[in-house]
Formats: sequence, structure tokens, C-alpha cells
Amino acid sequence: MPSQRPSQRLSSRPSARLSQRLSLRPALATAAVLTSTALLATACTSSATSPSGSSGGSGGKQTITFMGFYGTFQDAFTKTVIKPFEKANPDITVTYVPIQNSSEVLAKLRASTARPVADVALMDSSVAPTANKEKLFAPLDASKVPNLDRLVDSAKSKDGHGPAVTFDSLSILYNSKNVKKAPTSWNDLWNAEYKDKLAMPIADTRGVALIIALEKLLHADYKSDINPAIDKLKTLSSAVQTWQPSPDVYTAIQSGDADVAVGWNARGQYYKDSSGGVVQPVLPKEGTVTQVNTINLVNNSAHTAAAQKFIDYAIGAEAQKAFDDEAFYAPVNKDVQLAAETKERTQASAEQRKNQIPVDWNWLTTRYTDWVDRIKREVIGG
Amino acid sequence: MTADPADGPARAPEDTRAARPATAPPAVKAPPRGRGPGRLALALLAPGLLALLLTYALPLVWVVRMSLNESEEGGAIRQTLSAATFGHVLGSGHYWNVIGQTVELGVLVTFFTLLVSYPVALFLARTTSRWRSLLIALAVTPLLISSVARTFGWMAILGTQGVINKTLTGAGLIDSPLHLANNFTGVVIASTEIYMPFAILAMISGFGRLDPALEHAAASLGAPRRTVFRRIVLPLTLPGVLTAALLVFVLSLSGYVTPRLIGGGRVFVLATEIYDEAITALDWPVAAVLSMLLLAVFGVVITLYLRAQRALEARFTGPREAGS
Amino acid sequence: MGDTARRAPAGTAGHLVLDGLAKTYPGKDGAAVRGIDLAVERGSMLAVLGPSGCGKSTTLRMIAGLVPPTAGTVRVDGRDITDSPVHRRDMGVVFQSYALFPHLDVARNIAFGLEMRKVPKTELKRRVDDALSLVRLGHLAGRRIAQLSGGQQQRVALARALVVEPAVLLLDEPLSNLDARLRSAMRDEICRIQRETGVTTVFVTHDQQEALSMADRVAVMNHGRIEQVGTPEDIYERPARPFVAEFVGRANLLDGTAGDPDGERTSVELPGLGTVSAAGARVARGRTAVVMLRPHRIALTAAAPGTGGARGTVLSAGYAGETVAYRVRVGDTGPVLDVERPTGAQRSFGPGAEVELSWDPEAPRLVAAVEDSEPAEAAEPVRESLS
Repeated sequence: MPSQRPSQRLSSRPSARLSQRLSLRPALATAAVLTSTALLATACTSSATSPSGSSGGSGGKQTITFMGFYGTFQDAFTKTVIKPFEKANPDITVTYVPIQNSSEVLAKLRASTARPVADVALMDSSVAPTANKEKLFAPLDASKVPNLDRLVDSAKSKDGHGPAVTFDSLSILYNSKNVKKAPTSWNDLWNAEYKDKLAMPIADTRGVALIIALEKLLHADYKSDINPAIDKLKTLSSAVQTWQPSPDVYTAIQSGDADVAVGWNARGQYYKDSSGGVVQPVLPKEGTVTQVNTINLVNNSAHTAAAQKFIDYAIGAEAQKAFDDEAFYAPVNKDVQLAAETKERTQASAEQRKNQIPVDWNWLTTRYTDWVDRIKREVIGG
Repeated sequence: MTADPADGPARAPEDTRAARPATAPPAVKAPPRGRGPGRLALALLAPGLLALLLTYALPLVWVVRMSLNESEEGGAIRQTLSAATFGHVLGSGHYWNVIGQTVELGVLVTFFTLLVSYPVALFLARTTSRWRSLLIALAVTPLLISSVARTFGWMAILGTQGVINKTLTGAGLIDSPLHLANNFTGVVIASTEIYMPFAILAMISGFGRLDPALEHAAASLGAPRRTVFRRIVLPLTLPGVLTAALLVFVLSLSGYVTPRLIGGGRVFVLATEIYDEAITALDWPVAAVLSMLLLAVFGVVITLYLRAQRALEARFTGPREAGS
Repeated sequence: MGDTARRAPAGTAGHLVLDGLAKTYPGKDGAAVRGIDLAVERGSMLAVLGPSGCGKSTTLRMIAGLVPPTAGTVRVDGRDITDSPVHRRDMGVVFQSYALFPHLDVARNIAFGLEMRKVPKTELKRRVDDALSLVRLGHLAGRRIAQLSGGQQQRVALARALVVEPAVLLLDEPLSNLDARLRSAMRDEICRIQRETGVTTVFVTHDQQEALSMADRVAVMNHGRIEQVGTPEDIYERPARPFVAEFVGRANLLDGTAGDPDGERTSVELPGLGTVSAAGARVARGRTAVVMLRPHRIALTAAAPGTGGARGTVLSAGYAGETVAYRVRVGDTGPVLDVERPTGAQRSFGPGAEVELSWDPEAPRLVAAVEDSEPAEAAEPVRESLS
């Protein structure tokens, strides 16, 4: 869903999105998504996939359950992280439970606190603090996760919970067939040439990130006052064709329904390749905002040791390089040397790193809803 | 007319008998409840009731419970029993706007759906063509295609690069494309088409009182065609129209797919707002409260429907008379 | 009833005149109505009588304007209304199903036609009240249609059709939806109302009792044609054709050979019964003729030796309260006749009884030569110079 809070980058192919929508028939809306989520959660509690139901001993063969995003993210992660991990640890098997988004992880874990349905889970850094606060995730044992020491500072968790595992950035996307002069700056979104050709799916994390980027551009501090960014965005309203491109912003750019948009870089890079260069992601010259996915140990997991071993591997240099070269994320481990091309196409280049706009996601969690509401009411609705 | 009052008000013998069925209370007693059939009925009902309990009643209870919780910043849920979330939602202009837009969309979509479906339904109900069954089947075939696919179809038609705009700009009739999609207009247009088969089916089944003899009778009494329609056909088809209106309105109120896909993010209705609150904002209590409000709107709509239906039926059965 | 039902030449007397009215439905073999010529006098009541499928309802609907005719004209008061739409015809129609408007109460049903004619309010109310009292339903003005009995609905339908004072009142099987007891009451009621209003009326029925008892004149239809038009007495006593004789009342139809004419009468040789002299159709000497004998016109007496009448044997006797229905074989190999005798004073006979049959000289009617009965000729030779 374009509007979902946690961006999934590679995780959602159009066809998979379609099937998700199919399940949301209008008739269901009375009880809405909530009821189905509840049911799903109830069903999961008692399902046979419950990891605590499988072999619990530390000596024998163990199976741990990992919740990660579905689609191409799952493909890349399985290929570059899980398979090598299982090869290195023949006594541990990793089951990949694909999920749509971080909210779903939260819902599932909330419904299974005593016997959790997963041992390790990915979660967007805007949702993770909530899960930590509700004690759905457990702090890591640093001695069991030695690679924590090798993380770049922005990947580390302040309170010992799950660290970052992927870095992504907000980019401008454009259709290279329709757009003569490629955008290079956030200011280019206001270019009159793009009027009515803009797709701005910003009623979610993308909008929050965009506000932060604009605040920097406008020499304001997002922690004290986002009015400058909101006011600036208001002036863009009349030029926007859609605030919610369907089925998503990447396909809208590829098909030419929209010419310019904001979107996540990793997914944009994937579409750049798959579209033969029609979709072009641009990291604006003023720098951009990092989106962070954290990897977390689920509280009450029955396989704490194996789970932390897996987390350690996932943030290790070997897995980071393999995954990032595959899927165009920036590494969280300072020992990683990415391929030159990957470096160029992610925020891992020296220049991009310099321009990176630091974000306090932990603080932002408390403002997130408020910001999204302001975007919806003042920018979109206004 | 030369009525002869001298004839007197002699009641024909059948009069007294005739007046009775209309005013007499139903004389049929409830059948005695045998144990056997009762138990069998219960056994037959059990699977359905159980399914309803599991898929409807329990989640509904869960939603009611959730609506009494409060959410903290960042989406954490504080388990409590308070009306604070209700207060927050009902005190917010934004949510009232959402409710307003939901109802406005429902009213517009219902109006246009009925407007375009009525002639089709009337034709199908009255035709004596041997293709009638086939035609009715054709009218509802769109139901075989997911409303998602049909919404995307409308985007291909209504979009700035769509058929309509390409044609109009190509013909030099307009300079810049019309904004037909990614807004309220697009949602109304697509929803209208999507709910048409429901409306047509509901109307056809509700047109049972239509009888060609009535139209002939009206014509023979001097009514031209338009008057026959206005005075006879329209009143007789109103019950079917009312049922179709309820169906379309309720479907439209709860509609998620079309507003989301073709609304361009500009159309805020309860269904999309519930989703956004639950999934994007992680505010489950607010989402639950909005679900309750949607239910309340349904309640109001259904109450109005029942009132209207009773009023309509009274036109056919007459007012209740106190024992004459 | 000595008046003569003329075949209506175009433009002559008759309030409602049909001229060559025909209807052919596409895709169906044969015509539903094959050319109807009919004149209905002002203020009279005409019954169109025939079996189902004979075209009588189609004829009525063509008069009403609900079905466009394939050929022919409909005239009222000499005005050709063949191409006028239904709502400009000024015809009151009572449908078989009554076709009352279920969403309007009794008074508003009746007022409908007046509203269409933009009758002022006060006059409208007065006329509706008059119509209601005409059909004796004044106390039910506020009722809904669903609250009325069949007979009441019938009367509302009548009032609704009559209140506009139509040129012609058309009734389609007006009594067929009523039970037997109500039917006779309504029969009188319709006659009374028709008399009181003096409206020219055409009604369609398949029930000969209805037609005979209500109508001034009856048109018998079969296979899309009129077989005979005449007063009820004409139709019953002097049927012009075997179909009419059989369809209206019960009849013994006997084939014989025509002999010499004798004034109005013709002698016919009937096998087994000897020679009878019958009035009616004219049949050339030596041709086959059909003689009708109504069962109730035949008397039975115990066979006595020496008398010269026809003798027969009772095959069966059915007691039916007021009458006994006998079947009697004439001679040993002769025809079997239906005979109906009143009970009571009459002596009754059991099966096997030897009886003698007799009838008064006026009883036998010569209905047609067999050759004349082919349908192609049927419309033309309806001669009613019988009386």
C-alpha cells in the first residue's frame, strides 16, 4: 500500500498488492481491517507454526521464525542472508514468514505475547519504539551479538533493543521518457513543467521524511516547528495529480501516469533495472533522509540464542554486503565495502553520506501521527 | 353518470365478508413447538450461527472493546475503559468532515446509480423478449470482474492520459486534461458503474407490482405515456428503488477499494480512514471508534429505510383501521 | 325481439362500428382476428361470446386501442378512431384482472380518469361520490385495493371506467374472477349499472349463460370470425350455424337430407327419425342438412303400441334435481339423443325403458347445409333473416 507507514521497498510487487486489495472487499469494511486483523492474530496464536511449539532444546536442531517483508525483499533476503546463515549453522533452520508491513508485525505480536509467533522480526524504526515500549521486543545480549560493535553509529540502538539492519533513503523518481530535464533538487518538485504530473504519496513515512528534508532546505528545525515545511508543501498542492498513485508510485512513474514523484530509493533502483531505465530514482543534491528497518529479538522467544546468532549474522559485514549489492540498501556495518555501482546508487557514496540528514526516529515516533494528520488535513485536504 | 341514490346503500352480501381480512387480527396461532423439530432446527442453524459468532460477533465485541481503549503517542495502546477516544474523535472537525464526505459520497453515488440503473431495470422487468434472461445475466456480468479491476479500468478511461482526455484533447475541444480521476468526481463515476449491477438486480426483484394491465388501464382513462409513468409506473416501482437505494448506499458507505484507488488520496471516507488509522497511524482505538461510527451511520440509514418502507407499504395496504 | 342485426355497412347506424377489423400477429400462422364487421347501437349491451383463443379479447383490445389492428377501422359516432392512441379514445375499460391501482385508495382510483380530464375539484368529488354510490361502495372510499374482495374490486373497476362517462364501456371477461355465487349477483349489478348509465357496452365472455342473460345482443365468435350476431333468443333458438347451436346451450345436431322447401320450412329426411319439417337455413334439395333439436324440447312418453312417433330406448338417466338428463337411442341403430326433462310432475324412466319421443313442430331448426360450414365462407353468410 502506498499509504502504509513502513515502507517496504522491494517487498511488494504489483501483483501481490493486487491480491492484498482483493481481500479488502467493500463489504468487509463494517468490521473493517481491525476485525480481520484480530481474527488473523487469534488464528496465529494457536497455529502450528508457533516457534515455541517446535524443538526447544539448544543442543539439537532448531527452527527459528523470522518475520520479514514479502515479495522481492523476501527473495533477496533469503538468497543473501538466510541461505548462507543456514549453511554456516547447519543446526539452525530459518522459517521466513512474509508480512505486508510493520503494522502487521505489531498486530501479530500483540496478539501472541505469551507464545510469540516469531523469534526475530523486522520493523520500521518509526514503529519499533512502540513495540519496544510494549515489551514485544527484548533487548539484545551484546555478548551474543558481537557485530553490534561494528555498526555505524546511526544503526545502533540506544537502549539495547534491535539495531538497524537496512538503510534506505527518500528519492525523487521521474519518468525518463517524459521528463526532459532530470530533477536534481527537492526544489525541482515545484517546477511548473511537472504541474499535474506529480505523484506525491506522502500521507505516510514518505511525507514525514519529506518534511524533514524540506525543513533542512528551509533552514528550520523539525523538532521545534514544521510549519515552514507544511506551508511550502501547501504551495505544491495544486500541482499534484495524485496523493495516492495506484497501484503504487513506482508503476505510476513507469507507466507515465505521473512523471515525477517521491519514493524510496531501493525500490526505485529495482524498478530502474526492471523498467530498462524508464524509472529513474534521484537522490537530491541537498541530501535526503534515511529510512531505517530494525531487526529485533521477540520477547519470550523460545530460541533466544539461535535468534541472536541470526541477528548477529544479518548485521555482519558478509551478509550486509551481499544483501545491499542485491537490493540497493546502504550498509549498517562499517566494515562493508559495497560494489562501486551500489555505492553510487545508494546513500553509501561519500557525497551522499555527507549530505545525509540525521533523523531521531525515536523522538519522531511520538510526532508521527500528528505530522501525518497535518499532511492530510493541511496539505492534501487544504 | 346517473347514480340513483334511491338505490340506497344496500350492501352487497360480500361486503361484510370482505372487510374482515383487512382489519381482523391474524387468527393463525403459532404452531406448537415440538421438541424434535426445534432441536433439528437448532442443529441446522448451528454451523451458520457458529460461523457468525466467530467471524462477526466476536470481532465486533473486540472492536467495541478496543474503542474504549486509549492510544498513547506512537501507537501504544493503553488498556482502559473510557470514552476518551470517542471524545477525541467526535470533538475533531476532521473526522466530522470524513463522516460528511462519506455520507455525501453515498448520497451522490446512490443518486447516480439509481438514475442510470432504473431505465435498465425497468426495461428488463417489462420486456417480453425471449432474450430477457440473457439480458438480465448480461446486466450483472460486471460482477464477475473484481471491482479492483473495474476501478483500474475507470482510471484508464478517466485519467489525464485516459481515453476521454486523449480524445477531447486530440479533437482540440479542450487544452488541458479534465480532472476526472484522482478526485471525488472519479470516485463517484467509478462507484456508480460498480454498484449498477446490484441496483439493477435489486430493482428487478422489487418491481413485482408492475403489471402491464395497470398501464393499459391508466392509458384507457386518458393518461398519456408520461403521465402513466409518473402516476403509475414510478409509484409502483418505488419499493424496488428504495431497496436498491439502501443496497447501494450501504455498499458505498463501506466502500474501500474505489475511493482508495481512484480517489488520488484526496477522498477521505470512513472506510479508508479506518484503514489509515489502523495501519498507518497505528491508532487502533481511533480506528475502532470510527468503525463504531460507521456502524452508527448504518443504523441510521437502516432505520430511515425501514421507516420509508413502512410508509411505502402503507400506500398499498392502507392505514390500520380501528375495527370497522 | 324482432330487430334485425344487420351487417354494418360502412358509415351507417351504430354507435360503435367495426369494419373489417383484423389482426395478424407476426411469426404466428393464421390471423387472430380475421375481419370483424359489427355495429353496436347506442345504449345497448353487446356480448362477444366465444371459446378461448377465438380472438374475442384481441377484438376488444383493438377497440380499446391497446392492440393496433392489421386491417379495418374502428368508428365511434362515425368518427374513425382506428389510429387514435389509447388515452384519446374515450373508452372505459374494465380489465379481467380489474387492473386497479394498488397504491391508490378506492376514491383516488375512481378519480384517476377525472384528474386526467382536469375536472375541477368540487365536480370531481361529486362525480366520484356519484360513481361510488352507483356501485354501492360509498362506505369504502378510503380503502386500499388490497383490502377489497373480488366483487368490490369489480365494482371499483366499473366505477372507475364509468365515472369519465366514456363513449363506450368495454368489459373483458368481467365475471371470470368471481366465485359462482358472486357471479350472478354481479351479473345483475352490471346490468343495472348499464341500464342506469345507458352507456354503450361491449363485453367479452366465454360463458354463454352470461352472454344470454346480460346482453341485448350477442356476437358469437370462433376462429377469429363472427359466426352469428343476434339477440340472445336468436342465438339460442335460431342458431345460424352448427357451431353456434353447440356452443350456446346443449343441442342434438342431426345430419339429414334436404327435401322440398315448404314456405319458410324445409323437410329433411333424418335417418332413424323419419322426415321432419324445420325452419331456418335454406338448403337445396338433395343436399346434406343439419337439424338441431334442443334436449329440453323433446318429450318422452312411455312407448305405447300403435302410435306412430319415434321410439327409442333409454340408455342412461342422470338425475340433476330440477331436471333429468337422458340419453336415448332412437330405434335399434339410430342416433343417440340428449333429452332433458323436468322432474316432479313428469314420469321418469330408468335405463332400458322403451320410450316414445316427440316434439312440437317448431322445435327442430335447420342450422346449415353441411357444405356451407367451411370456414372460408363463414363470415359472409351470416344471414339473420331468420325471424
